[in-house]
Amino acid sequence: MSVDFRVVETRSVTSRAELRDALTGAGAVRLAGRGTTQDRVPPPASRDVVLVELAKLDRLLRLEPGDLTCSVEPGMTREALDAELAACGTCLPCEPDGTTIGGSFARGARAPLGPAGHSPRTLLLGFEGVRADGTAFKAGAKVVKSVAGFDLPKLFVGSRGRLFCVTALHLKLRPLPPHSEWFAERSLDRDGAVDRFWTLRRLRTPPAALVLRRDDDGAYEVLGRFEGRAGVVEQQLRASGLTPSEPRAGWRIDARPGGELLTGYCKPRNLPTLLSALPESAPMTFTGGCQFDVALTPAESDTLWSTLSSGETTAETERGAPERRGRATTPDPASEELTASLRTALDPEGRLQ
Amino acid sequence: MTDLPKAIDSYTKSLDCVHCGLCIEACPTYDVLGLETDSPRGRIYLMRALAEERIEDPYSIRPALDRCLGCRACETVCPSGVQYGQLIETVRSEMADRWPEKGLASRLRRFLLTHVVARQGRLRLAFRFAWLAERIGLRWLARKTGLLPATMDRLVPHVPAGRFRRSLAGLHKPKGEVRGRVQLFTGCVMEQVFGDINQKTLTLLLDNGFEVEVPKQQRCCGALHLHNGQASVTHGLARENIEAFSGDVPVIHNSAGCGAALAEYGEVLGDEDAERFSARCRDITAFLDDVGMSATPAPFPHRVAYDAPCHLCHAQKVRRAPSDLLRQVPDLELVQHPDSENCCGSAGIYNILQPELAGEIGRKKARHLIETGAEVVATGNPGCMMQIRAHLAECGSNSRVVHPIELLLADRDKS
Amino acid sequence: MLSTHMQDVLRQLQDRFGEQRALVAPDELRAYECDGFTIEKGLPLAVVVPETTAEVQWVVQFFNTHGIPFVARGAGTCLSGGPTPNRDAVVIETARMKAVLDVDYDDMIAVVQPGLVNLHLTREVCGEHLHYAPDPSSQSVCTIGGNIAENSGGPHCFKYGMTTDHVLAVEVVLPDGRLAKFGHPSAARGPHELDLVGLFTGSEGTFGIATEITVRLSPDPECVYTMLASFQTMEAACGAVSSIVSAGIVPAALEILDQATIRAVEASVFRAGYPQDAAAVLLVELDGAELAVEEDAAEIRETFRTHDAIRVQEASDPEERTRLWKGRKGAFGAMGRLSTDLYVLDGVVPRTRLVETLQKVTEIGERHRVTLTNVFHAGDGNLHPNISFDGRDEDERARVLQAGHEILELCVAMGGSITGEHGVGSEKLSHVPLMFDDADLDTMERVRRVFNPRDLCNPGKAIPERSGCAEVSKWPAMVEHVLRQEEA
Repeated sequence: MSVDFRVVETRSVTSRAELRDALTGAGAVRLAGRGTTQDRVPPPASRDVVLVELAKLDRLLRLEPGDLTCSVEPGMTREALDAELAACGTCLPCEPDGTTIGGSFARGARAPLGPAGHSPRTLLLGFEGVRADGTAFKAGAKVVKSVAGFDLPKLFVGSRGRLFCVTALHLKLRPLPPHSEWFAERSLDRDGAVDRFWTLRRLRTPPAALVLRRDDDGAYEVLGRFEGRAGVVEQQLRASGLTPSEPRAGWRIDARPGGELLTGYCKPRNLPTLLSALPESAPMTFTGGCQFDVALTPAESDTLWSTLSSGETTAETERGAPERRGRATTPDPASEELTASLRTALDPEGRLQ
Repeated sequence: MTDLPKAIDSYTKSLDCVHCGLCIEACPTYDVLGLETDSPRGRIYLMRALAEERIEDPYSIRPALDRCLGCRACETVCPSGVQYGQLIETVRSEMADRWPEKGLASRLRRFLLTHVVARQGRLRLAFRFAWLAERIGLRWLARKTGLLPATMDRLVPHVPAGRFRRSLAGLHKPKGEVRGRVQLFTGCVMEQVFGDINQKTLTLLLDNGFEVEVPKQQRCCGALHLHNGQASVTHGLARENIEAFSGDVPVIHNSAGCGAALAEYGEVLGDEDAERFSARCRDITAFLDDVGMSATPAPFPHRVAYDAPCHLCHAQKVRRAPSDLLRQVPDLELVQHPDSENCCGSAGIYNILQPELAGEIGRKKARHLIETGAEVVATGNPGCMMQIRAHLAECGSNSRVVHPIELLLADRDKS
Repeated sequence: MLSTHMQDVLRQLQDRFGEQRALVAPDELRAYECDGFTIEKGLPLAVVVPETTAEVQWVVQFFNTHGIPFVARGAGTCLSGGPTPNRDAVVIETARMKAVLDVDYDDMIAVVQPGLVNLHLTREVCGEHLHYAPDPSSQSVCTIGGNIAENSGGPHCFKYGMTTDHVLAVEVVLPDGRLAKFGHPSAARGPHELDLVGLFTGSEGTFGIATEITVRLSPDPECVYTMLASFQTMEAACGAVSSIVSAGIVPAALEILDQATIRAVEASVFRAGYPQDAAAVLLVELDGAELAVEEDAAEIRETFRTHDAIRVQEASDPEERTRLWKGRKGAFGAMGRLSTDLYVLDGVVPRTRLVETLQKVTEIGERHRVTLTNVFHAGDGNLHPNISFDGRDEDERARVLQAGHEILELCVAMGGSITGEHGVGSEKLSHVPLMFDDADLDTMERVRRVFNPRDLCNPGKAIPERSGCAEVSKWPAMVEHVLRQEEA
């Protein structure tokens, strides 16, 4: 548990009843899975919060490989779920993000890696949850398609546990790809890398993962992954003049010691502009799903924030000192007001923080 | 009105519609106005409501029904096979009887259609006067004084000289071997304004080895009367035409609008004679495509766009024959024209009754045609030729508008 | 008769928009009293046809001032009564707002107005080998704005997802007339933002009116291959679907039509040459890289054999594929051949329970003596039982509604949903409690009230009205209604 803010009490719940008790007790609450990504979101506004840990709600409730759906409790780890799914030839086709499934969907921080891939927002079919006042409710469905009721699952993804808490997530699965192959082209210059990225992104059968990455030495590379039947993957690599490379699961960058990580989305067309706004030495990645991450020093971060305006590009400081996290581009006034009203409507006392 | 058998019949037809809406985008008036009341589904719904006596003031739904062009593009896309064309014509007839249109203009229109257009002798006389009037400068005067608006002036064709307005009645024999015999329908206004096209049609049939009989007693097809809600006039004309075209050889026509009307005599009159007659009627292009051209057309080194008249492609379902024939013309380049099957806004006398809407639809058609880069536009209906010609000119294009058969002649200078 | 106040309101509307863009004659308004769901009807007070975002804003503010409810409408092809006016609402028709405002071919996004026809967007961008993926069967007429309101699906959403997966940003005139912008051209939500785009999509027009929509375009697959197999039993057809999915193949579409549907289609202009003696036909569409499609097709051919397919047709050229699809796309309209009215249901069950569900659906149909045909998205387990009936026959109508209710009850009992893609609208309001209890609906009601506190924007749709809420905002319309009746 890496928590860099004050916690008055940690309550690890093992049942829905315990969760309700914890939520309806006095004071502000911060929801957490195993607490591993607490240092990637802004700290609670209140000084005294109870940390409610969901890690022990970790059962796989239902797995229907034939229907390509499953239901899990929020505290189940991604590793544990992946193992169960792989055993029956299925997978959850979004990038892991945090250790627990609940945390991953509550953050919803990962865009698809390919231009047409999945992210948590396209995979959460429904949920069972508990409001801050202890009311148990549900939304969405367990089947792959349902438009009954408002799409509250979408509202949950990215809500960071500040609207309500979920106790079960109904997920959409895909067949496990029979084969996957990574590729990486290194030592490209900036224009070469951007061009390569654009070309691969625009392929009629694009890669499942596509990343433009710049290291702290300023070298660019374009890497990614094709998935599918072995023969097809091989053909796709060949057609794009790419050679297979060793798996690059660890391609993500993180904040450097004492530094910050800025994450956000921009149109691929604006990538050159973004790159020229960044310091030359700042490591960065940009994915096929339009998400960028950039590691900066606090000073560099301040400079960049002074140039970032809201609109087409949207961003937030994800890593850094607690008080500096959560600095973000401003949405339009009406959206901001609606967001605040939604919080009030679902958690009138503002206890989920 | 439910006591009328006709009404019950049209009501039953409207019940085929399940309100799926797949027709609305095909409708030219919906495209411009964006109103459900001006879509096929909306009009059917209103007609159904009328039959169910849910309409308080029939006059208030009349404008929406009157704005229908009758192009029947909706029938082509309807998955339930609703016979929209017949439905709206029946209802228009019923409405004309029960809730007659008010005003001098509509009375004048009814008078002209009944007493002039339906009588070929009087029509010929009228056109002789019109030709005279043009010759002595009355048209010029009308234009200058503003009596004839510029848009209307562009639309109304000049009356051709007398030799092009002559009747072709009689039996015509080809020079060489005879492949078969046909009868030719020459139309009313067609004969007077587009007589040269009738002559060319005759030549084309002769060139291709057909004996052509042009019955003297033939009459106007009655389509305009039916569109105008005067079904009884149409019935009379239909009977006379069936009589005039006795025999069993194909009846060839070159005007899509007339052709669609002839094809529906069977349905309109509902007897076997009429059905047999309707089955014999063929558009000149469909006929030639079937039997094959024996005379090679003269080379035509130009870019041509084929624009399909609604009454040919939607009503008669003749969709490929004209293009297939044009492709056989040496050196002719047939350009892509995705908008081909959309209405041009002519629709009988629609462009005179609804000038604004027809103008908007016509301009859209002209713009699409200009985009194709065609030098020549071919379309097989006199009304469409006039409308497209007028709007191309208005949009500053000098593309020529011709009837497809004009491009199929072996010697274009001969006839 | 309308009150003088209301007459004055309508006059102001006509002054602002002219007679062709503001309909007020009750007889003309009849045409707007229902959508593709014709069982329930509601006459609007008026119809307004705005052409710009500013005009939509003006209209919404105007109706707010007068406390008049309103509802946006696109092509009116919704099958659940979504745009059917409730409480004398005014219809705001978006058909004239149909421009493609911007296309970025490199970034593969398009910005469009709500009245743009779904298929017209694909037509606009197809030259660059792009298309807009969501393809409801009415795609040749239905509008993108309507698709967003209902979160429309279509045959291809098994692989490519629903409308919501393809919407990046929306500009919305909120129910109080304010303008809001949700989402970004690069992502539906910023890292720190709530997914308002996702929440708005599928809110059935109750959260506001979209006036500008940014959607993701998809590259055309290199190769598309369509296979049509007919089977002697429905079990065999469903069995083939199961085998295909468990083999790890994700076809672009998996559609089944039953015998009655096949016969109706073959009798219509959408005749596609489907074998009329088969109990079911299965339409499989594969797309992607050529080699992948070839290998998948070979495996599927084998599957067809093991499930005793009686006939298999395959097509790769566009014209032939279109013909195989034609029957499926026109199936709904073709049902018009069977009787005068049609009720299209939209239940979802877990795919593995399709066979047992279909058997029970047939039993329900027989028990209530209704003409029932089935066409469905087999990959998603999304059933579309179609009931043909004569709406003028009161007894038959009642039996149809009862059968429909029992079928949806069955879907929920199977662990499914009352609607996969048509929406609740007004049609399924009474079925919503089959899926959601008071606490669920209370939560949804709280969300609705955030967007639509006065309940003027498409009132009484999507979720059932709950006692105690929004009563106050109903007043102006209720008073008006009473006045109307008195004056009449």
